[in-house]
Amino acid sequence: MCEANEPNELPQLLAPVVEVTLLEDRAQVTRRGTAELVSGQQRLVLRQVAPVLADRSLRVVLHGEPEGVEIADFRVRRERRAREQDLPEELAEIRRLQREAESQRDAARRRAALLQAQAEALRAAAAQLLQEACEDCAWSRARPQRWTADLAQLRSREEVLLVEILAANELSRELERQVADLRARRARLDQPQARVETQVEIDLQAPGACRVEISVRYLVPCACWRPRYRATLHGMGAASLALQVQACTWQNTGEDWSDVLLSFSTQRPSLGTEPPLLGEELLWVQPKQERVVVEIREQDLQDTGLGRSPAQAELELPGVDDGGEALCLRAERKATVPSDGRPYRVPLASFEAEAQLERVVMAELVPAVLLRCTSSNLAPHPLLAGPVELVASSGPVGRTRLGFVAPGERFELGFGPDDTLRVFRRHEQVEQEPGALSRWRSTDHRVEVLLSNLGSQPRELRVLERVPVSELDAVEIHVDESDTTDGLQPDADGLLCWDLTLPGDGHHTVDLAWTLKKKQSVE
Amino acid sequence: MSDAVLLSGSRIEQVKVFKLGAQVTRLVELETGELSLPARVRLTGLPLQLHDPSVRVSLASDDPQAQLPQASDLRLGLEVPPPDASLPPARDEAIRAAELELARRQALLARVERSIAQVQSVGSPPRPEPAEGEPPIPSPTEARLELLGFRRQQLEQLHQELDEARDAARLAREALSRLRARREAHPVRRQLRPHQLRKEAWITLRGPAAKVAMPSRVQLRISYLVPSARWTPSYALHLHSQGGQARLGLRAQVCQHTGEDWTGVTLTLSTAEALQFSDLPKLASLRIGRAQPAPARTGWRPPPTGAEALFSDLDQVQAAPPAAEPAPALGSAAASEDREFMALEQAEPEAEEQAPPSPRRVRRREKRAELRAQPMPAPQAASAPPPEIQALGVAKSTGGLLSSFSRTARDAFQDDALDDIMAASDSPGAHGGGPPRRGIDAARDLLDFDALRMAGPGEARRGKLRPASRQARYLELLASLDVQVTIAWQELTRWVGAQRRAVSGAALPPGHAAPARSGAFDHAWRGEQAVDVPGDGRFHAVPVLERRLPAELVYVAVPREAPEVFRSTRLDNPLKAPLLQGPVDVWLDGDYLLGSELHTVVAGGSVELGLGVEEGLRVARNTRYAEHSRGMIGRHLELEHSIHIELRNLLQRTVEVELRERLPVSREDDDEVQVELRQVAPPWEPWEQEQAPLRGAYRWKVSVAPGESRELTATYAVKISAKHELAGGNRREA
Repeated sequence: MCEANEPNELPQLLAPVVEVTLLEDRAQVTRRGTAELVSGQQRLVLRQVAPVLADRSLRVVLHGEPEGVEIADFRVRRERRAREQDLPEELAEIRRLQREAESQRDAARRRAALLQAQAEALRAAAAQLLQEACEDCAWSRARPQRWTADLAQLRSREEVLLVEILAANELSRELERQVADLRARRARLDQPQARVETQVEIDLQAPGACRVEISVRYLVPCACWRPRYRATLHGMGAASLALQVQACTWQNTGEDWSDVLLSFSTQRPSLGTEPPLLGEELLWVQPKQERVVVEIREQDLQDTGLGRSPAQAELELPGVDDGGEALCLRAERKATVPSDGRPYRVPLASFEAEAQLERVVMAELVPAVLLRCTSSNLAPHPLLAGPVELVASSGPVGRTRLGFVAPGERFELGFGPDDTLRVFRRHEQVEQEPGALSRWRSTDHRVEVLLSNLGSQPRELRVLERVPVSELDAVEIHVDESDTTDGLQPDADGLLCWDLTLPGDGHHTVDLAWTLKKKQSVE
Repeated sequence: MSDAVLLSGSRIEQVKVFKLGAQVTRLVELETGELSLPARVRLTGLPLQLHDPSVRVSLASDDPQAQLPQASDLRLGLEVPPPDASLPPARDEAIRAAELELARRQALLARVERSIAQVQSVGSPPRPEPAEGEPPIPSPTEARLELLGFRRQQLEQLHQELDEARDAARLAREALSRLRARREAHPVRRQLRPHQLRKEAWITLRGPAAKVAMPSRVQLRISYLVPSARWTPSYALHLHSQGGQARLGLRAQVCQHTGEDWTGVTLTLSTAEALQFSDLPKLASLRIGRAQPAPARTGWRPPPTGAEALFSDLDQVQAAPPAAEPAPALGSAAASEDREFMALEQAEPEAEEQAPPSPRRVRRREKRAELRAQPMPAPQAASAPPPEIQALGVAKSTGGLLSSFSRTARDAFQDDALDDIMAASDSPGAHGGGPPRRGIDAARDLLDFDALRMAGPGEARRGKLRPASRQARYLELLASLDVQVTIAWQELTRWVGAQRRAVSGAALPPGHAAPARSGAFDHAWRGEQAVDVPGDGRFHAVPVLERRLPAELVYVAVPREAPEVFRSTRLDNPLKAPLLQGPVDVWLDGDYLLGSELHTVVAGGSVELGLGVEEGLRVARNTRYAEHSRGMIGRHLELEHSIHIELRNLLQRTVEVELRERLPVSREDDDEVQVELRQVAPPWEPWEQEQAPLRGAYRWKVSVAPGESRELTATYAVKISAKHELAGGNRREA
């Protein structure tokens, strides 16, 4: 390290970034270049490397296994361009400029003072002249022409001087500004968070002069990727869906990746190294309980919130689930990702599949008529969770999300609400007074889904409702046929589905009446 | 970035006004030419109030065979007006030169003033003392005169110079102040006021994949929601006294303060609320009883950990690692990213950053990160993730069965700041949230990848993605255009908020009612002609549609109660939609008659509208009363009332008049009182009063020729026992 104080003199290795493998929170960067070696021990320096690189991850590889060439050692050297001695040239230059500006400023100030004195002397001379004119006059030696000429000469000289004084003052002010600028620059250079210059030093042993190809690989944080999609819908009814898989890439590592080969992986090198521990499960008995405690599983009521609850959770994008099998996707072509922390899209793959489109109403969850597109994954790899940019009728219509979809699996995409249709849902619940001797309590539910078509075109749609499904003898659910539209009964999963056509400017009501009966002992 | 083609010639084509807020559709024609489709267009002139997530773009062409290009990658930015080229901003050098000139002129002026003072001090000198023993020399009057002449000439000259110097100094001062004023008006780095700003949309266009014929003209439509608009209905009814067809016009009082005028637009008015994008939910089966099957895989897993360790080598060089920012509360960072843009109190995003935590806290945080790095026990975790995992800010939208997902845009519009609208759109509530998700899920804010930025090694939360504020993204986009501006975000907030409040808080015009949905159904009325609505926050009446409908004038008199004859008309709703409550202006034969009020009429219903008193019809009602006793043994009284009505028609035409009358009735099971109709001429018919049902109501329908009069009579008797009298007196008619 000691003799490497003058890094400029060492031969440089020019090895640009050629390949990057992005992970969920880091990136593996590969640089490659060729170097001319001389005989014996020597040192190569690879400059301008990302300062965030993890030293432990650094690997230097020789290509083609050249005879006798050995890598003796390699290391990362970081220099903070912060203290004065690290920046001798730049700082010295600034100092020189500042000194120069200061001396010029002082000269200008001196000159202005001199001129000022001179002007005052001229003014005094004019006053003297007038006084002496009076004296001459007392001696009857009036010479008005001469006095006028003399005065005019004095005054014009003073005027010239005045302009010069102003110019000198202006010059000294200007120089003062320059000095202040230079001082500020110096202060900035003296600040501690100046840039960190990073370089990789490679010690090589070569038997003779030769050319070698060297790769340098290292891991960097401050870079990641996530999948995203663009779904383009063509036509209505029996439509087709074009899905483009993209990788969204961010990096702020301090080095630009220009024209590099990108690949994207879901590997987790940081997973734990030890198996998890087991805890003991103790069993015991207790007297049988008379009451049955039942729950509707989805009924964990929680405010969906307006997105600003003071929940103390860290805002962090979760990782993408790869279905247990690490996935590595390659970019179709080389790409450039500057180190500015902004997102860049890299197309990965695309396919076009048949799609079924329908309008569905799940008024219990969303009071809107939603366009549902069902298609299947024709890509050879699974689709990972990510946002989807929706394009319909040749333009963007919104953004939705996609979960994990295995190859060949069908998936659904929501293309947003149909703006011309409106839904309103009413749900009334009436608790019936239990009979004196009855062991059953019952609650009547009435659901009304009101649909309005604000447009002039008829629309076909499907209304979905659900009733709970009982898996206990103590709870019964009964759908009242006479008060339910079309006398529909739920299927085994408790779902009911009505297909209907809403005429232009038309309205429709879908009714559902059901009763929940449960034994008194059930809570 | 800056290669985008500027499209400024878009015009508003259509506006849908909701109960609150409006959806505006703008149209711009693109000339594609010979496959020279611009790759990127910048659509400028959009209002500042535009709700960013609501923007939709679509392309269309007249040629149905042609392959359309595709628009994608929608980005929204701020449009900054170009500096006024006719008046270039004053540069520093020019100002400095002017300052120097002024100083010079002032110095010269001071010089002249000093010279004047010097010359003025010159006075007539005393005669010099004579030499010892000599007589004084003669008084030097001639020389004195010459001195005084010299003085006068000098002063005259100096005063002239003084005038000139003063003029020159004044001119220099004026020149300088002109330059300074210009710099303030057009500073090089401009401070922009809200009214100078617009939004703009950046759209990437991609040609069709195959080289097929492109349409020569493509229509690009962009639609967006603006919150500051509302409407209320009113009507105009044109009637003819001869009967026949009437014209019913639906008008709307529209109030908008969206920052743009709507000129020549087609209006659609609706009782509905503005709708925002919703994700597709999953309607899962509900089971009572045993545990649910494991939730479907969401596709997410806990965020990767351990990247912080990669910084350790850098940290050794850097004296102090960047302070880990206090974990932003889930809501505050994501949702408030937009709030920053608009919130009233918050000044700068930097202001939110708190003091760096103590090193101990940082260490604790790291420890927690390590804890998290341990793999979680797999089987249990599937159904119930440990709280540590759930707290990753990602299991946000666990919604319940009965919890309302139905936060619509209206609620958002009523929030206090524009950013809340923006923020609300990104919250799961506004979007319907989709299925209630368990386990790990990505917050919707974080799925807007275009808004995420990777923090560099020197920044807080280094190596992590964080959402950039909308404000920062606007400036980023401007910077890519080499536009340097400072924008008073706070002022912008207030300005936009004031616009919205001006509309939502504006008093309706008197007599008007807010449009309410009838029977929970929503309706829309499509305007039939292009209208203008200036964006000034005031209500403007615009015609919406007009229908012809049969409407006969009906004359009704209730002589028992009032001697006047009233006009009314019965209207059948000509629309498929209801007629909402609102004021109606009635015109009869082209003359304004009166203003009345229309109550909501359902589609297919009809309504009776009172039109005031007809002076040309008179009615007079007189009664006679006689008491007879009848019967020899069971004596009883007959109270005989005769009603005599005279109806006179002073109009020029035959009219049909309905006269309403009633007979007294006894209590249901009371046989002490009997009412008997003795005579009626002309015959009448029973009648039911809808507003207040009563027994014993009758009506005549008679037609009267012009100038004629009709007489109508009715006689009834009330029989009671002679021992009784009627409560309230036996005579029942006045």
